Amino acid sequence: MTERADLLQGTLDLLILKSLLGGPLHGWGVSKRIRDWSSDVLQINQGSLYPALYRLEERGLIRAEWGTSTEGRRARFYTLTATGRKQFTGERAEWRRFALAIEQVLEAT
Amino acid sequence: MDDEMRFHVDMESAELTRAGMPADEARRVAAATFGGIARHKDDARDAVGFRLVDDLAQDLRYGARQLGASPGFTAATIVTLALGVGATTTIYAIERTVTASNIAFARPDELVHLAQGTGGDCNACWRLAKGNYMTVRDETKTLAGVTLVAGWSAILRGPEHTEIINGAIVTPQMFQMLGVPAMLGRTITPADSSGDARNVVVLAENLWRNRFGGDSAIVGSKIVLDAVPRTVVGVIADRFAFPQGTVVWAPRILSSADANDRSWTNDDAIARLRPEVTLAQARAELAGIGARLSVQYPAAMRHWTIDAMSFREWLSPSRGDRTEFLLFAAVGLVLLIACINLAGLLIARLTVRQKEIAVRAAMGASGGRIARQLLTETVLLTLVSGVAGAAVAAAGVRAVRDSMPGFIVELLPNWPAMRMDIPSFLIALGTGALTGLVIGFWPAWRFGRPTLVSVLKDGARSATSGGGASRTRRALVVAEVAFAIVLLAAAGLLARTLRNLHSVEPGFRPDHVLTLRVTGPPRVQGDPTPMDSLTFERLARLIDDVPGVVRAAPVYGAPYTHSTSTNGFGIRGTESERPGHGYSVRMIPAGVDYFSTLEIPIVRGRTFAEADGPDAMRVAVIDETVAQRFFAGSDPIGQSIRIDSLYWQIVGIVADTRYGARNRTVAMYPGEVYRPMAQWPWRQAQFVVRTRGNPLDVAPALQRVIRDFDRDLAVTRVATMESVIEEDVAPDRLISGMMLGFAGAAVLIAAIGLYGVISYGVAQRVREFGIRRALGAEPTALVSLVLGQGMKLAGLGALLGVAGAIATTRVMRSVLYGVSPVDPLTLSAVVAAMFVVGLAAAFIPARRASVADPMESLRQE
Repeated sequence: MTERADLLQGTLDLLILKSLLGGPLHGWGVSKRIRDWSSDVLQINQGSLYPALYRLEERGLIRAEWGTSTEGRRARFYTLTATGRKQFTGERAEWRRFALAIEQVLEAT
Repeated sequence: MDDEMRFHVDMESAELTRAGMPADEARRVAAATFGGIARHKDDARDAVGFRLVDDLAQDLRYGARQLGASPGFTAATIVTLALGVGATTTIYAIERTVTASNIAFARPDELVHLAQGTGGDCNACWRLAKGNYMTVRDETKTLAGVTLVAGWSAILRGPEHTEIINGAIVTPQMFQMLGVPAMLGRTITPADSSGDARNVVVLAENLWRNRFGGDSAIVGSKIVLDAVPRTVVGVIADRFAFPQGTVVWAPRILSSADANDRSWTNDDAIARLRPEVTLAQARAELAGIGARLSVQYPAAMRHWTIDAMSFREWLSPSRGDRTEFLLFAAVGLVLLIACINLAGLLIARLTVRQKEIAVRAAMGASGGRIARQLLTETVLLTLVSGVAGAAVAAAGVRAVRDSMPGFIVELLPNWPAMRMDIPSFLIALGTGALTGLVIGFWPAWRFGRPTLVSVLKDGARSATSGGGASRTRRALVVAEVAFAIVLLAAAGLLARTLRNLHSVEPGFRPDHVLTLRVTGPPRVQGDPTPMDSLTFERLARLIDDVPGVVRAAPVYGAPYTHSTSTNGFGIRGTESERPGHGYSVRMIPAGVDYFSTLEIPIVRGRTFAEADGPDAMRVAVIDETVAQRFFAGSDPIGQSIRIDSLYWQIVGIVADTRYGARNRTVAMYPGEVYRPMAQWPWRQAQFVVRTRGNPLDVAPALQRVIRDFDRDLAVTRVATMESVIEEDVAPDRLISGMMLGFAGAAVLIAAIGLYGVISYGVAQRVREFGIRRALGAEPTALVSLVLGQGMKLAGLGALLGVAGAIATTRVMRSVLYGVSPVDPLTLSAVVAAMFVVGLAAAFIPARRASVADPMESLRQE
């Protein structure tokens, strides 16, 4: 198995928002997509995933509704709201600045 | 949420299967990876801080689970609060019963009560004189239907028994003025004021149903009241009974002589304000009439005024009774102690649960969310306690109701019906919930926001009893003990008062004596009743002949019976004869054999004889107090005293007897002057009957003799002298019993608090104790270590409590008898009792400390 990395605090929300950017997903889909995109490095603990989903929903960044999955089963689908999209853009910029800064520090000679 | 999470697991297992894992293995791995669905659910919920209704349901479920998980805490809290709330509700139910007044009349705000007074603080101290009433009635422009109401103990002649019923004599327009409808027949009207029409009565529904079978033929038939046949004209519903508790009404016919009566009356004047008239306008008009009358009749009415107050104000009983205040203060203290204990218990709970709370906070639950959860738990707990408190109150109310002495119950028409009703129950519940909210809020706010770091650090060295919370709890327990000591001291003082009252010397021999009260109809002119001045003496001779009776005598004002008349007297040939210079004493009409029946010692001279009849020289006997106090060294025997306008020669001096255990009136009316019943007849008498055997055995025969003698004589209050004496201290017994109950509750609560703190301390240090044991500490050393801790708290509390008791028990001075409010003996006993309770409370945890198993305690970490 690939080595896993711990998520930096606060990045989970960002990842969830990003994963939903392409369209509605159910919880498992979110975790699967993040896992896939990160080549299995980022494994989302379900104990954090659902609280995070519910928290985002509470904050109005994502919306949830029951629908049918591709396998024909009932599942709860999460969709990015307009606020969520805006929030994502802001957070992404923030993250990039932050990551760049870290990178610069590490590369400094 | 369930579905969603299950879906997640299914998807995961499907994915694994696709990757080549066998289906059941995939499923297992998926489930294992996911973990407990329930836990994630809870976490998810907590993290979000759910929507309101869902929240509440969840909080309640959580709360119930938490409470069920710690039965000790739950039980302690429920007992504590149930006692506090129960005590409060009991007092509330009593208060409601005593002060209940149900005005059922139309437009009650227009009703006023008229009175006269001498101005200043006494604008309305006296009932309106009949003459003044007539003046107001004829002249007023602000009042409609001015009426008089007077109480009337009506003697109802029955086929079997003759009894006294609560009646009222009212001016005929009263029913119309109050707006009382008849449920049967009619009410009394102004037409009922002359000739034969005056002998009409109206009955209350309950008398009509209970005594006359609810037969509507009652209207038009005659009943005999005070030996006079009267026609029943109607029946009214009980809720219109005015004054409250009245069951029969007769018209008051005023005579022309009444028009000149400006001084005194037994009648209450009530009236209705005319439409559009305010109370202030009516009062102004009455003040004007009063001022004019005081000029017109300076002899009788100098400086007198006339005033009115609203019905509600008049009917609300006067407050500020010391005893009532005491009980309210006591019950407040019990509730306070209960609250303090509850706060302590909650802090203890929170300390134990800090880890859980910190974890939940770390998971993302907001501080407010956690506080709300804790608050919900507290409120749930207090609601349960409220219900338990209602049960306590129901028992308390029953106990108080049944132990109230008869002569007090007579003054409280609602008393026998007193119970724990719905409003009282709601109060219990409300008090419980409110207490919970108030008390629960503080610890939730103070200790409900631990940081993860501090808790984990604490957990790493949980051998030390954790800082602030523990100190707070110890302080709370000290406060509980202190307040309990104050209550216990009050209860102790009352118990000693009761003992002192019991050991009071009555001044006569109370055993083997029966007492009863005989009331004859009033002598109305032209009414052929057999009552004359010798009636009761003749009756006494008949009673003498009843088998088992040694001797009998009539009297009015027998010791301990709380019925006596007072009057002033002056000594012939001295200054005291002048009006306003006399001495006020109790005046007792007594039969010939009164002194020998009660075995009151004769000090000098003689007592009454048959020869002291209606036409003989008027004689009197005085007691030692009167002899010493007013005769200043001269020999009273042979001297004459003036009472009203007549002279009575003193023929003897007898020993003092007690008016009651407390001798309450002694300051105003220091002694007793006896006059022969034959020379000073009353229509009411008590009989004292000395018997050979059990006094109650002769009662039936006595009642037969009395009925055969005159069937219009009503016999009431048949009791042994010993029970009369016992009943005299019944209020004291009741109060000291209630106070003892409150103090017991307080001590129990304080003990629970003490036990909680000590056993928590032991639990925290169990590892230390285990190590001490392992290092060779004797179990007894550990026991005394823990006991010492308990004693330190109890001792500090006791010290503060004694100081508090000394500072506060002085308010009880008027209730105490023969014991100082700061009685050292009582205070030491109270402290000793508290220490015993404290020891007992600390002993169980101390035992636990002494048997701490070193291995066990190490394994706990």
